[in-house]
Amino acid sequence: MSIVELVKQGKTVVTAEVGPPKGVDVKELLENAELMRGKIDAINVTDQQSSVMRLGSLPVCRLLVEKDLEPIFQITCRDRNRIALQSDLLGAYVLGIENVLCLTGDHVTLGDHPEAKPVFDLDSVSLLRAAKELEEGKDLSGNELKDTPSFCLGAVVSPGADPLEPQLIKLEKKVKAGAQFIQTQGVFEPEKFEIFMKAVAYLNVPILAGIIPLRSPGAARFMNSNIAGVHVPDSLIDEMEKAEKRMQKGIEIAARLINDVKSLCQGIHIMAIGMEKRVPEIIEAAGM
Amino acid sequence: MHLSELAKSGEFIITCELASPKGVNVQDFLDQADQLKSYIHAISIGDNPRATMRAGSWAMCHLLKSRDIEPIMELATRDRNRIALQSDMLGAAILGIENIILSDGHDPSVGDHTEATRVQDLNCISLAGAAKTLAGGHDMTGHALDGTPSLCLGITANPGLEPLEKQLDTIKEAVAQGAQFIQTQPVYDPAVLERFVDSIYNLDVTIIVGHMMLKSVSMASFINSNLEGVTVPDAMMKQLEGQPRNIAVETSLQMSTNLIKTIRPLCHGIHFIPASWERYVPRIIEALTDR
Repeated sequence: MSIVELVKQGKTVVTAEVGPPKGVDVKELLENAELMRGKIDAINVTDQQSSVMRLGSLPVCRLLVEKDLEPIFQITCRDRNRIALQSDLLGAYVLGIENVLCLTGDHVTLGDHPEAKPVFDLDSVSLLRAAKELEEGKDLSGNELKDTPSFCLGAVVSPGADPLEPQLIKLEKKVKAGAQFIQTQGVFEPEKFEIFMKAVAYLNVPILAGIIPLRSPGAARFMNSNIAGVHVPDSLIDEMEKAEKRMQKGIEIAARLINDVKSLCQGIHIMAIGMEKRVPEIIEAAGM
Repeated sequence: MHLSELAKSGEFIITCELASPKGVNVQDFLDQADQLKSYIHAISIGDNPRATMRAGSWAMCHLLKSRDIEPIMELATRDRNRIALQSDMLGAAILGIENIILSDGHDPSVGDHTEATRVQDLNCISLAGAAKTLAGGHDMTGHALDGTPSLCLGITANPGLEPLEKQLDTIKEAVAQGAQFIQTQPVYDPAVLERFVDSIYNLDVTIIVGHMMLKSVSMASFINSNLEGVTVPDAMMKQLEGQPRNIAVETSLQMSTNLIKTIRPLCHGIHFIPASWERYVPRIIEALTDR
């Protein structure tokens, strides 16, 4: 079921992220996905996250469809021009993939192929528009399609960004371009998130709050200095420092954050990078 | 199955090209594939051919694979950078696609998205090199892979295009990088094919020759004036001249059968480019087999 349909049912939607391997061994990824079966509503598959070359989101989403698991296909503008992006969208629909999260993508210099050509023929907003056009029966040049796809289109936002204003402007553009659900960057400050939610209420779009379980105080500090729009407050870092079992503490904090934010928004998106196996535990700890 | 292994087993390979839909209606595509299934070894799908946007080649190839039809996926360097190209080869492998034709693709200016960025981060030779590296368990920048893909890589060639030497250099480099088969543009003059085959006789590569049925004199004339390097000889033009449509079909199929029988000893297989004559492909194949 698409994210939008799930939201319409009035429940708190729960999604979680999996990262494809760098290679063709998908055993562990499928095991992790299997652990999430029945516990979450959809599995979000990252696409060359941080510009590191990996197996793509699309083929993995197809494997999930074949296993009767609901995927969210992440598509980025960094590596493909408008011909390939539209072509991939049509292919995705043909293979039963409906939820599509449209991203601009990180710059190539962050990844493991810094010499790769950054394409950026489109960006997240024009990609959303292109997907919307396809749904209306035309490609970006206005050529008619033979039967039309139907997607559930998503986009991202960073509620913790400082200043927030540019994020809000971009979000409005994304929603106007066709975004039907929004997934946020990791949320660590529920009070700030509440302010953000009030600011975007007029857009009337379902929002899934991003939850990143902390693995260590170092990981928190790393995110603060390297990931745009993420801010882990000192109080949480201190809590992690003092914890005897840090992994356990990280899960506890994640569960607490989920409970603090879930009534403010329509869903939760868990980004447990490298600890996908703990996702069921986080959900349980949050009492969901 | 790798096409190169099929060739080594002594089988004369028969493949056919099908067009991916521009849209999401795959019914005609699947019907055509089903009709061809028992006649051919594999079906190839172009990657947004002539820079015209269509449903992804990988998706159609995966549909074929799930119907037990061996796919050949084209991957063009026009639309993707090295991250996407390598990633897509890994993706092809997990979707059961083993045969991949590497190409540079037409320039977006000839297609239906003239404003699209021509990416061309790699060319088909460096892409072949990247594929070889992946098959060896590493990516282009030397990072070890978690699971190695098994791929059979092909490249395209145009035997009638002058100067041949330039193409031969590309072919030699691509084969050195691991290309195992060549799929050519149509060749109507056996002498042209013979010269091409002779010039690469020392390469260990499977040669699959393109064939497009000649539907009419006007189509043949169009080929002569628009398909660079491809020439329909006068004798063939004369055979088609002045024939009513129904007889022209029979003449055309006979010409195709005769030509393929003639060039068969020179190559390892035939690749049909049906240009909407998909329905006649089985008849030619049947005529080839009852000798």
